[in-house]
Amino acid sequence: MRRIAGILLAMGLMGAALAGYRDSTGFPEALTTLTFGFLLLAAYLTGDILSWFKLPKITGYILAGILFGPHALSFLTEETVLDLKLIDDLALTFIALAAGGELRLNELRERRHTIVLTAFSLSMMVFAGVGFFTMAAGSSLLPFMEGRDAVHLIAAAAILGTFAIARSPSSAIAIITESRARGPFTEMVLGVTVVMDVLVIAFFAVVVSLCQAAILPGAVIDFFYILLIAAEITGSVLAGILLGAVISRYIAQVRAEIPIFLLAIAFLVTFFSREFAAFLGGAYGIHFHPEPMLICLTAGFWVQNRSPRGALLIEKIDRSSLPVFVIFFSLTGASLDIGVLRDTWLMALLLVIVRAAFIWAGAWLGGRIGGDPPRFRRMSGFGFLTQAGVSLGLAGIVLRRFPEWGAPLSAVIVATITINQLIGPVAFKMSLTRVGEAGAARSK
Amino acid sequence: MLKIVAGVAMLLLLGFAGQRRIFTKLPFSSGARLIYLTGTEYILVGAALGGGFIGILDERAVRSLTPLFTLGLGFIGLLFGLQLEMKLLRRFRGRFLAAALLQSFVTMVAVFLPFYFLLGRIFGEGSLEILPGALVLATTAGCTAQSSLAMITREHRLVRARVMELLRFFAGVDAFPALIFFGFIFCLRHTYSPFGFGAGSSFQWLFLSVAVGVFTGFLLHLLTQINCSDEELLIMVAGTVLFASGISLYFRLSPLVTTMIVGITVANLPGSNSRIFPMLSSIEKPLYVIFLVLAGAIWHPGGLTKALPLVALYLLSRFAGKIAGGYLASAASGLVPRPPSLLGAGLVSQGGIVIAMVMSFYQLGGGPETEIITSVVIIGVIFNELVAPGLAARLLRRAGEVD
Repeated sequence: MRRIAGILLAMGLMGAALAGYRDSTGFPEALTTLTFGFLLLAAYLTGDILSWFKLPKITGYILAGILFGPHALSFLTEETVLDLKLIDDLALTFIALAAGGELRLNELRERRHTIVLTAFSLSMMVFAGVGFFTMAAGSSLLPFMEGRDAVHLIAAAAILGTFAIARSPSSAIAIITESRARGPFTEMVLGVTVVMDVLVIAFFAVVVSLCQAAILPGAVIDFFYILLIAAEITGSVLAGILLGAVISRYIAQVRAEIPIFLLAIAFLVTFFSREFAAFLGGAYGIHFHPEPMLICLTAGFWVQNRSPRGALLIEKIDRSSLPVFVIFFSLTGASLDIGVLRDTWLMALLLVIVRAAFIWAGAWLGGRIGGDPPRFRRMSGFGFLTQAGVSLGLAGIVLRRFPEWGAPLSAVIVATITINQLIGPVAFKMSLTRVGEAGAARSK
Repeated sequence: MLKIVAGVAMLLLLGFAGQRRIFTKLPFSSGARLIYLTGTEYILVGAALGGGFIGILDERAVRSLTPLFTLGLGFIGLLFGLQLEMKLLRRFRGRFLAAALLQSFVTMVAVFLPFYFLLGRIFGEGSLEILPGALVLATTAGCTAQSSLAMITREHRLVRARVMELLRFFAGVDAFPALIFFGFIFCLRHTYSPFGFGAGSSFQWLFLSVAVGVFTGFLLHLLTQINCSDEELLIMVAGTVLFASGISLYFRLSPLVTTMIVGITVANLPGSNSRIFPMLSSIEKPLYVIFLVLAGAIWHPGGLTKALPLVALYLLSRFAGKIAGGYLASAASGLVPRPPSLLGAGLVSQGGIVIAMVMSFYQLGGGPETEIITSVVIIGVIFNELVAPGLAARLLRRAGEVD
């Protein structure tokens, strides 16, 4: 009752403040601060209310973001969400550090066969399954493909298939932290999620280049683009290793003020990625974007497995994880354009169902070949439904690279991601509970 | 690229500066150690990282991080307000409170008068235009921090300590009137009434400022009744502080005053303070450092040639005010049988709340005089932190309370 009263009181105060406002010229950051404070409270309380129904709290944070965001009640404007982008990015780097830190080499080694097999089986089955379904459904699924030749449909199917592979390590780590899960199943799902999140970027580059070469008159396979993506991934991993070494050294030598140090690291990674991309773009016209998420994932992994005090870092990150999750997922919700669902919900829903079916089949097959126990095989598919940031970024590239039908296809992709972002955490939490690994970290 | 290299170097510096061992092994003065302990050096780190020098925390970044800066500002106000629990204050006799307020008021007047007459001549503006600047200098001068006294307690063995007790009480509450006056400065800037009544619009804005604090204080109280972990409590406190500060900024009022009222409200309602205060104390240092770094990045130390003579005047008039105020307060109230004539020398330290006040004033913008006033206060705080422990220790030694 207090939670609901809290939300209502905050909404009342917010409404009164906005209604009483007269001077909008002076200090726009005031509105950003006000709405950010409101969003924190509303998201946390919504998450807490959802947890009564055994639903993941991050679903509540995302729902609050959607509800109070620019596309529903508009307590937050699009400008406010943009103003908070840096804070969102900082939160993401923290989450990536935590995700990397959760990957323990000795446990991964034990599970490497299953991880590789599941990642391979998932990628192939989901790509092929969603791709063939799209081709079979044709313009009845994608009306904007009406009247176009088969090559266009194949290209769109390949792109949708690629998107279906993408996962969300941030959602996975949030659910694992919230459920205090630990064990072979948890490690496998996180391992596969991270591997596939990296692979999908490379896979996407190859698919987009091939599709462009097939569709656009006079175009050839853009090997430079593929190389550039490979360089982005390699460069980000190397930067992550360097960063991991710096963090390890700091923890070993200094050990003081770790939260401040981590915040400074997060800021530097975000700043470095942005400035380096701007520098290469401005000076040489090269669109090279280091991935802050990948840099921090690698750094967290390095510190956990190469530093004797890696556990200390992970403990510090874990202690600040809740505010970071509330910030990140509520802003993710606020930036989701649910308006696209109005026009594309049926297509998106069909794609979500088909994707989920092939994910389940792919994960089951991978687990079967890898020798997983039956209860893992039955549940592992539910751990791979979440989608988020990277996929949204790639959707933007589709929009730019395929001007003829990129916009409507991108809208379908965003709608699919929105649905998956809402159901994915619920399914993953359920699977962790069913395999008996939820709460295992606490007991250890 | 240079920015990145410089940034990494600065980062390492930040980290290594955090090594307390450096300061405990090397023979730094107690003032330098106090600056380190209170984190004041981070404001200079922030200024170096800011748009004027290295440029990592450029205008765009600082703008995006405004909520984080405001959170630090709000936490300072909240922490101060949480200490004003009536149940605890009642333990002291009313004369203590009156003496503390008198001391603060005398100091404010001692700083306000010379600056009120001088600023108009320096900036060539009318008395109404320079009133906010003079009031900011006066109100920041009125506040005392407990940090130098805490340091003496840590480093020396105290005997009887009645003067120390008096100093601590003064330092604990004398920022209250200063903050209320400070909040009023923001209200003076408004030209219309918030409620539509013609008369006393500035007082109406002050009322609104307090009302926002009381309502959000009730909200925080309500939320803290929920059974939750410390991390969850932190989100609720941070969200409420941002929310209250945001409303204040939105109405161009002082977030410090509003969050102080939030703190007072929560402290005087049953059951919340016992959980919030310890939780906030545990995260105070990192949050304060982040606040100082961002404050440094926002601050453009402009007009230093004009500012330096004003710093001297600020320090002198404040010291004179503290001495006079301290003497009057202790003599008039008879709190200590033989009060030291220079009691005010133990009240020189200013600390974080003053930086929060001046940065809050600076945040809402203004002309070149705002930059100069901000520089005067920040340099003044750094100087006062350097000399405060020595002065306080000397006073207590004379009073026979320190070995």
